[in-house]
Amino acid sequence: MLVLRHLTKTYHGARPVVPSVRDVSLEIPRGSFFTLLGPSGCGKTTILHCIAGLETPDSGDIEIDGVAVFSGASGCNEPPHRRRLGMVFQSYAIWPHMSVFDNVAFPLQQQRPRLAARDIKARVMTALSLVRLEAVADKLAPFLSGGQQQRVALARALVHEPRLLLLDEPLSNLDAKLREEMRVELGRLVRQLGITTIFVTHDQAEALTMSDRIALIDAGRVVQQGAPHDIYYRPNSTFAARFVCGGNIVPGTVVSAPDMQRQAEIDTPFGRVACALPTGINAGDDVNLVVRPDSLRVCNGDAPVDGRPNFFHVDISDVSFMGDFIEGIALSGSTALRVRLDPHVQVQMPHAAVVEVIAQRCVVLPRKE
Amino acid sequence: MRHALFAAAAAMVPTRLARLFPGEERIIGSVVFVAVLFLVSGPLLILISTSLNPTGAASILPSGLDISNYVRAFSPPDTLYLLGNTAIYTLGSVFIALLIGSSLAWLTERTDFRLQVAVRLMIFAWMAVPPFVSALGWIQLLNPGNGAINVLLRTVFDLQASPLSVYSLPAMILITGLSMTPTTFIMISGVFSNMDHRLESAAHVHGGARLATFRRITLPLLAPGLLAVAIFQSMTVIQTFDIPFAIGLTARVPVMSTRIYALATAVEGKPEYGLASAYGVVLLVIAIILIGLYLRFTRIGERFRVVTGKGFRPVRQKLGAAQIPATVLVVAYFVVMLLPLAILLWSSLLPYYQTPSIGALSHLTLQSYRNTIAQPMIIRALGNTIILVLSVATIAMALSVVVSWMAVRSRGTLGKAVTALTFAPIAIPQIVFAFAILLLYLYSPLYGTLLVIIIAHVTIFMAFGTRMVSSAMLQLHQELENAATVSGASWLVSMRRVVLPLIFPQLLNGWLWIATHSARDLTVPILLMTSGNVVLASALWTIWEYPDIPGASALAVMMVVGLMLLVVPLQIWSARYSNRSAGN
Ligand SMILES: Nc1ncnc2c1ncn2[C@@H]1O[C@H](COP(=O)(O)OP(=O)(O)O)[C@@H](O)[C@H]1O
Ligand SMILES: [Mg+2]
Repeated sequence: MLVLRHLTKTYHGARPVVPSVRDVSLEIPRGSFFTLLGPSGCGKTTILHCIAGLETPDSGDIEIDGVAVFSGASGCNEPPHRRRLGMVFQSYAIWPHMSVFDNVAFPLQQQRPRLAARDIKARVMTALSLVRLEAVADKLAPFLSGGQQQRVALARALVHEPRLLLLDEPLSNLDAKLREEMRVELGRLVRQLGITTIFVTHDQAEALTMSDRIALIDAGRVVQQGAPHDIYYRPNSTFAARFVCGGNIVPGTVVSAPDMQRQAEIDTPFGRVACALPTGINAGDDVNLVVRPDSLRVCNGDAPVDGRPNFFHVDISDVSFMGDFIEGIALSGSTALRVRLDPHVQVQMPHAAVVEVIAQRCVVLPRKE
Repeated sequence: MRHALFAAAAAMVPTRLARLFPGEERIIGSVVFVAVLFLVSGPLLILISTSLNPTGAASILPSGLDISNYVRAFSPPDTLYLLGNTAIYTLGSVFIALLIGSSLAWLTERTDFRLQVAVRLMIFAWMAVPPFVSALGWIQLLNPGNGAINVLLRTVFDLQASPLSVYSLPAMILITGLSMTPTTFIMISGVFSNMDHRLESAAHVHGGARLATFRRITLPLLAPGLLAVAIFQSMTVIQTFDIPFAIGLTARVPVMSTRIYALATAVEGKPEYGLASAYGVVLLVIAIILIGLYLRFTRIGERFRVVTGKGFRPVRQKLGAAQIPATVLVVAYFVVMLLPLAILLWSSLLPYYQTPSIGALSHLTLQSYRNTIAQPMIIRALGNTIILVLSVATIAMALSVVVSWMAVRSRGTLGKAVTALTFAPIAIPQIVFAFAILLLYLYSPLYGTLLVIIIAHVTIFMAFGTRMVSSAMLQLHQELENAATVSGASWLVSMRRVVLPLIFPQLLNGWLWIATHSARDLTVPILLMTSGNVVLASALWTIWEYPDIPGASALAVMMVVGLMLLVVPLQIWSARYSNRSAGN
């Protein structure tokens, strides 16, 4: 169990002087896979460094398993080498002058009372076999491939059975194919070991597939927390919608008062959409309508539109073949929506079509200008 | 082999200490900060306070503000003469060093000159030759009585009087200028290789004739860099003490540095610490102005510096028929550089000084070497030198490691302050610093011990060590160190097991550089010399003064050979090492 309370951190000498982490509070249950997701520069690494003790927060508290390792109020600050954590760095930070074995043995050699050389050897080999690297134990680190280095870093972070495993964008330096493989392997490994893991990434696909819970970070703040499903289907801000769902964000204005089921009509540049409003949004409000690709259905161009709500005429162009689907741009007037098309249906471009906005799958968010 | 070296580096920090206290880096950092603060500012404060004592005050203790020493220091006509001498000496030497250094750098960096490798070897081996040793060689070549070249010229042209004299300002300028050509060469090569040669090619493509391109493009691009080198070397000459000391005292051509020495050591009458301090402060101010200018021009140079693309090689100019005159000139330069060493070797092999001749060959003997080695003073000096060199290099590098770490890794004010402090000695002329140390320890039991020389050298050479180590640490990814810390290593353990092994080549390089320079320095040992703390450099000077020319020559030859054994393998090793890492 890791608890962060009101954590704030400003870098010394930062220009302009803005905090990199602002009032971050998180609770991470034991054994869970927790992801900090956010764009580059939002403060994810800084949060991780504060947990590890590599940076000292300005204020707030950090507790591991009920014991404070940092407390701004009481001045308690456990140095990083006493926190018993494991960490994989973005650059892997494999020590190039040591063999793979020595790299992995290092955390065990630091333990007091000292471990017997025999025990160290056995535990290192166990850790190496977890990441399937027993064969290269005697190699010097620079002679490893990127994927192997990544696994050595993982073995080194796990070998001493740390209380927390901190992963700082561990997959971002791998090429696409390897990244996919490692994503699966990493997920399997940490679940098998049941270790509490804090995973940092800027890639929403990684976050969605691997995590038990996600905290979405923007400009040093936690803007939304929840299971991947919650965040994907119920983004609570335009930022979250844009960053996690990758959908269309359509500005609009509510034109009718919501009825008993909170159904109302919204004027958008491509027409009037009828859908449910969340509480707190009323007639006359400016809103953003989040239309993910799965909330759009493309029908034939001669489908009847008149009288049917949420059906619109569009012209589809600029298609790109993505393999299992085709992505196209649906133009209605000057508004463009990204849509997915069936790759098995051959059509002429540009192509007149009708799209249906599936109202239940859309999210309405307040728009602040 | 490399693992053995790492193990040696690792042994630098005891393991036990590592677990002693939690914030050990804070504690060690603070201790080092206080030590460096004391080392650097203690001598300077005492220097300034002494210069403000009333004229002729017996005590060096502060006794108010009295500018009479400065009034005396600046009263004509003596001062004008002194400043004039210093200025001519500086400008002349720098001119010669720049002329030869940039020609050599151009030949080796920008053309297909055939002797490039020989030039580089010669330049790097030159680090092993103490400047005052080559001055002693020149005295044997050019002294008006029996200097070998003078004798030769007298015989050939049937002259009555010697045509040349080493005891003159021009000779001093020439010898200093020559002795500075290697460092000038290295600095200017750096300026050349930092320039983006594509800018020149662009000018050629756009129809610029060769001369026009040189004048309009190359020269303006190089100018800030060259000016920076000139300023830096001017600072070096103003600080130079050993050559003016060996030659200028007899020649009666005083410059600032030898004047301070004369006043401080009572060459004439009783010591005048107040006046010497005033001159010291003046020299210090000049040096600080020069370093300010230097920093300014290097910054301008940086602006012109373009990051060159990968695998980019400048087009080298074909020398063609010019290879021959270039070769002749460079070989002549080699001969001129080696002549003083050759004459020292010659006179070390004869029982008494004789002009080189075929007849004298039959007298060759190793007797001087045997005699010299047998002298108790030399044995003591050798022992002292070994202690001096080992402890100075080790202490200075240890301090440099801590200081560099603080400067590079900690973003606190302490890091900034300690960096500024360690860089300060670059701007402090060595003679001034040695004198200030003399003042500080004069009435303490440390005066006259080897320890004082060690303290002075550590302070002076720390600046170099810090520059070397901090640039190495900057190259090191911070995460390598973080990984050790998170794995449970305390600061000392992460330094010992991760940081130090990774920067080991630079540590070794810096250690050897400091060791070499500590061994060849005459300035500090001569000013602080007593019978108890004689080292090889000061012993050599003592025998020379005695005068025992063959003995001094033998000692000089042994020193140069000994230093070569340190320097040359290192240079070859580090050239290989950097080639290998560049190849990766
Ligand atoms: N050592 C530092 N000094 C000053 N500012 C820093 C430092 N490290 C990071 N920052 C700033 O803090 C912010 C957050 O950085 P970081 O935590 O590295 O972001 P992320 O890991 O999410 O990409 C950025 O704006 C960055 O510029
Ligand atoms: Mg980061």
